[in-house]
Amino acid sequence: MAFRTLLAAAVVLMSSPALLPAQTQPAAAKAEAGDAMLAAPQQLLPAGARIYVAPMSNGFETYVVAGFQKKQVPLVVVAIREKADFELTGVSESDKAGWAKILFLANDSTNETASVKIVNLRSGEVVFAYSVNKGSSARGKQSAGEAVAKHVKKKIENPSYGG
Amino acid sequence: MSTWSFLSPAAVVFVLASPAHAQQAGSHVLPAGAKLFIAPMKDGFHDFLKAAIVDKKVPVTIVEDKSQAQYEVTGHSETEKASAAKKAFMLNWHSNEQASIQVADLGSGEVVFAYSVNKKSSAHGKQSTAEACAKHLKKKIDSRK
Repeated sequence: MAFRTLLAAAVVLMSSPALLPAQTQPAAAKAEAGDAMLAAPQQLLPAGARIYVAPMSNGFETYVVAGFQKKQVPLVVVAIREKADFELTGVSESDKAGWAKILFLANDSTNETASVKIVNLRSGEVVFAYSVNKGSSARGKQSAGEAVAKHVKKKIENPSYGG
Repeated sequence: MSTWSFLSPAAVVFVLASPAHAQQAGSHVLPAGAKLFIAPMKDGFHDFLKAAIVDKKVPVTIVEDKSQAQYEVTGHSETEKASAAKKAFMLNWHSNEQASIQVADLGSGEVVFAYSVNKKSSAHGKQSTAEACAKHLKKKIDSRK
C-alpha cells in the first residue's frame, strides 16, 4: 500500500512542469509560443471594430456599406471618422458599354473597377487591401461593393487571408 | 460566497468578449416613428426617396431641418440613359438605374441601415430605385432587428 502511494506520488512529481530542468523550461515555452503564433496569426482587423468608410468617387462608399450589411460583415460602420478605429478608403471607376458592345454582344452592362484599403487609425498600419475588376458587371457598383464586403468578412474570419 | 456569484462576472466577460457577440454592419434597431433627415443627393434622388417613403407608407417622420432629426439618410444615385445603339438594336428606351443609401444615427454616428439597388432597363427610372430603397427601409423597421 505504501509502495503504491509512493509510486503514484513519484509519477505525479515527475510529470509536474515545475520539476523540469531549468534549461529546458524556457525552450519548451518558446516552442509552444511559436506554435501558437503559427497556428493563430495576429488579429489585425477584429470583429466588432468600428470602421469609417471615407467618401469615394461616384459615391462608391455607400455601395460598400450596403455590401457590408448584405454580407453581414461583423463590423460597426460609423459615419463620424473620430469615432472609428479603422478607416476604409479607395477608388472606383465605371466603364459604360459602347455601341459596339451593345451591337455585337447585345450587352449593355458596365465594367467596374474598385480598389480599397483599410487603415488602423491608431497605428497607421494598412491591415487589408483588395481590388476588384468586374467585366460586364451584373449589378454595376453593387457587385463591386459586395465583392469588397465579402473579402473584408473573409479577412475577419481568417486573419491569415491576404485579400 | 456561492459558486454562481463567483462565476457570473467571468461569464459576462466571456460572453462580451466572444466573437458571436460582435455587432454586424446595420445590426441596430431603427425604431418606427424616427425622425429622418434626407440629405441632398445627386440628380435630386432625395426627392424621389421622400416620395417613395410616403408612397410605401414607411413609418418614419421626414424633417427638413437636420438639427431636429435623429437619423440622417445619405446616398448616391446614377442614371444611365439608353444610348442610340440600345434604342436601335435592342428597341429599349429604358434607363439603367443604380442607387445606394445609408441611414446613420446622428447621436452615435453608427450606420443602422444600408441598401443598394441596381435596375437594368428600369420601368420607371429613379422612381423604381427610390421605391426599392423605401421598401427595404420599411422591412428593416418592421423587423425590429
